[in-house]
This record gives sequence, C-alpha cells and structure tokens, in this order.
Amino acid sequence: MYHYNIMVLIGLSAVELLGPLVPVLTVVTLLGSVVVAGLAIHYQDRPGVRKAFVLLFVFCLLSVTLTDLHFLPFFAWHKFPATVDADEVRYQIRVVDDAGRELNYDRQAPFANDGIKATSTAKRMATVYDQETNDEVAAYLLERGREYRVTVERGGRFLRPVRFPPHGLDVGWDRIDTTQYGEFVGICVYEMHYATNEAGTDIVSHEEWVVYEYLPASASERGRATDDAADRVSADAAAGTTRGVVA
Amino acid sequence: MTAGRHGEYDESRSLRNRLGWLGRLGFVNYVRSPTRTSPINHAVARFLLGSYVVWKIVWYDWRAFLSMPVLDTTTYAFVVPPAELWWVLTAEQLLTVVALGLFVVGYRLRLTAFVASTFLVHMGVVRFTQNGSGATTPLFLAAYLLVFFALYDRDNELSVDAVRRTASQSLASLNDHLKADEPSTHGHHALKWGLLTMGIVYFGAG
Repeated sequence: MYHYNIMVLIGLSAVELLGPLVPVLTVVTLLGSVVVAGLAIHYQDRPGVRKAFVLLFVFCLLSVTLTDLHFLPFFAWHKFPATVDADEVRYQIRVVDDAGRELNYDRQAPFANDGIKATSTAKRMATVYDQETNDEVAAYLLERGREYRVTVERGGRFLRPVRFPPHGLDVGWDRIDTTQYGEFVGICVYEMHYATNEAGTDIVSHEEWVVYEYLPASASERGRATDDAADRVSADAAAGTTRGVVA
Repeated sequence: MTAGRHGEYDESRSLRNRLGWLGRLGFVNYVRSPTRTSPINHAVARFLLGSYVVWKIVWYDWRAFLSMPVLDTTTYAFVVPPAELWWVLTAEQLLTVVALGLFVVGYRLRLTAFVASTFLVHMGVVRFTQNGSGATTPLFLAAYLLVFFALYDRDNELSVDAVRRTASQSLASLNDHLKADEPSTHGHHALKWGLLTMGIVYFGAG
C-alpha cells in the first residue's frame, strides 16, 4: 500500500521524523485531548476559550490527515490514494468442515458488530506468529466459529434488520446457507497471490495455497484430503469467500 | 430571461427551491452561516447523533471482545483492561447509553456530552486494537461532535437545560424578549464545526 501524503512527499517516515517521541505522543494526545476538551467545555464562557479549542482541534485533525500518522482520537481516512500493486498478496482464514469443505471465516464470529479484522489476523498468522500462538488463535477462532454458527442457524437472520449494518461488503454466514456444511473441525490460513493486467482492470492469474492448518482431530479420520497441505493449490475459491474489500 | 443568466444568483431557480419541501430537507452550509431562524435543526441533530451512537454501540459484547487471545495492533494495548475486567467496558457502554439519552433531551448537557464522548473515545481506542477499520473510527467522529455540542452549550435552546435556564430568569427579561423587534437567531456552531470536521476527514481521503 502506498499513500500520498506530506511524509511521502518530503521523503521522511514517521519514525525518522518523530523517533522516540511516537510512544510519548500516543499517550499524550489520547489523554490530553480528553483533558483539554473537558477544560474547554467547563470554561467555555471565558473569552477566547472556544476559539482556541477549535483552532487546536482543527490543527490536530489536519495534521493527522496530511501526514497519515494516527494519534487517536485523531484519525485519517486515506482511502483513495491507496493503490494496489500489480502483484498483490492477500491472506484469508477459512473454516474446514468434516468433509474437507472450506468456508471463509466470518469476521463477526468472535464478537458482535464487525468483529476482528480477519484479513489482518490472517496475515499475522501467516507471517508473524509462531506455531504456538497460531494454534491458540486458531483454537479460539474455531470455538467461536462453532458458537456463532449455532446463533446464525438458530435465528441470527431474525435480528439482522435491526442490527447496526456491518462495515464492508464481505458475505457473512448469515447470508450463506451454513446448514449445507458439516461439523466445523479446523481452521486454515490461505496465502493468495493475485496478478492484474497493466491497466489494473482484470485479474490475469490467481493462485492460493494453505500456509497454516489447525486440525485438532486427525484429518484422515474426518475424511479430509490427506495430501500435504502446502502442496495443495486450489484455483477456484470455496463458496462464500470474500467478494468485497474491507478497508 | 432570469437574473441568474447574468451571473447574479437567483434563489427562486435553485435546486433546493425547485424540489419544494423536499429541497428544504437538503444540505445547509452551516460553515457559511451558523445561525438559523429556528433551533429545531440543532435539536434534531442531537437526536440523530445520539440515536446513531446508541444503535452502533448497544451490540458490543465486551466479554467476547476481550477473550480474543491476540491484539491486532499493540500501540494502544495500555488502554485495554484485562479479560476478567470486561464489565468495566460494559459499564462504560451502559453509562454512555444513559448519558446519550440525557444528551438528546438536553439535560445537564455539558456533563452528559463530555461523559459520553470520553467513554466513546475509550471504547473506540479499545476496539481499534482489534479492528482499526471504518467499523471503529466513526466512534471518534461522534465523540468530536459531542464535544462541539457541549462546547457551544448556549446553542442548545430546545433542551431541558434551556427550560431550566428560562425558569430562573426574571419576568422583565421575558418582556424584553417579547418586545424585541429583530428576528430571533439561533446558533448552530456545533453543526458548523462538525461540518468542517467531516470535510477534513472526507477531503483527507482524496
């Protein structure tokens, strides 16, 4: 991902410019903004207080917007300047049923309203975590996935119209007939490589393979394909995989 | 031929007028002029903001949230309570809902708006550690707006606070108000700075 912002234009990274100040600024901005807002509200009738507060607020908001450095509660939405490379690598978590069928993991399964950032979790499971952490995360995701599935099949659809609408466009389990899947027995993480043509209008190649697998019960007993997971490359995505992008 | 053709702005031919009553529901540029002849928009904005936030946060399940064994970003790990203290966040969530209810009717608005915005920032930062997407960041936008509503407290004229203020005023001041010739103006400064904030956030995206 590449962002057009002042930091890029002047050729500096946040760490080069702010260095060890970053953790200090993180804490000071978060606590300071609450304290300053409280003081400004309390002393609003004194001359100049409101104007000074608004000026400081706009300065902070503009700073994070122009530099793309997030110091919460000030944030920036840098969506349109984010471009996609011609060769893009993405990661995806899928749940595996007892017949070896795979279903894209619903990011709302762990907790309500938008849940985890599943693409990011998948990337860290594939590239950052050690085996032990991966197993812990996968066991958790599998457990929550099983519970969430029961909720969805029991009547999750009933509440959907009044729930706060989900962010992003991916297809959750409440829009998929999960009853056609068997018992969920494992979690796997896919690495997916996409190559687009020069105009960026079409995908010219799409390859994906398993980089991590969690199958607590013996896979062969469950009827799952027993070939080495790393060799397995399936070109067509399983039903219900991500069709949208969550930013 | 209308005046509009000669470069002069013709209000009667504006899109807003041609749409009739529907047009009057349209966009108001509060940055150009933060005053209106009625305080209704200001009160409706409070209602919309309060109900939006309640609708968004009422579904949060903090016990499940804190049971996730890893954080997506560790920068703000210092604001995340340990898993067994999930009820702290649930209490904040409930207090925020109560504070927002009082904010909508305008009771002790400085305090209720500040309490709601502070808890929203905390809950927002905690959620940011798992999901920094647009699912979380609107909580901060809502917190900014709440602070603006509290900062320009005197603009909240359709509110319980305003009724309480009026009750404490003398009869003479009521007479002065009724005899006044100039049309009444009602400030909408929270919406002015809110609009500018939205402008910076959305313009910053492109």
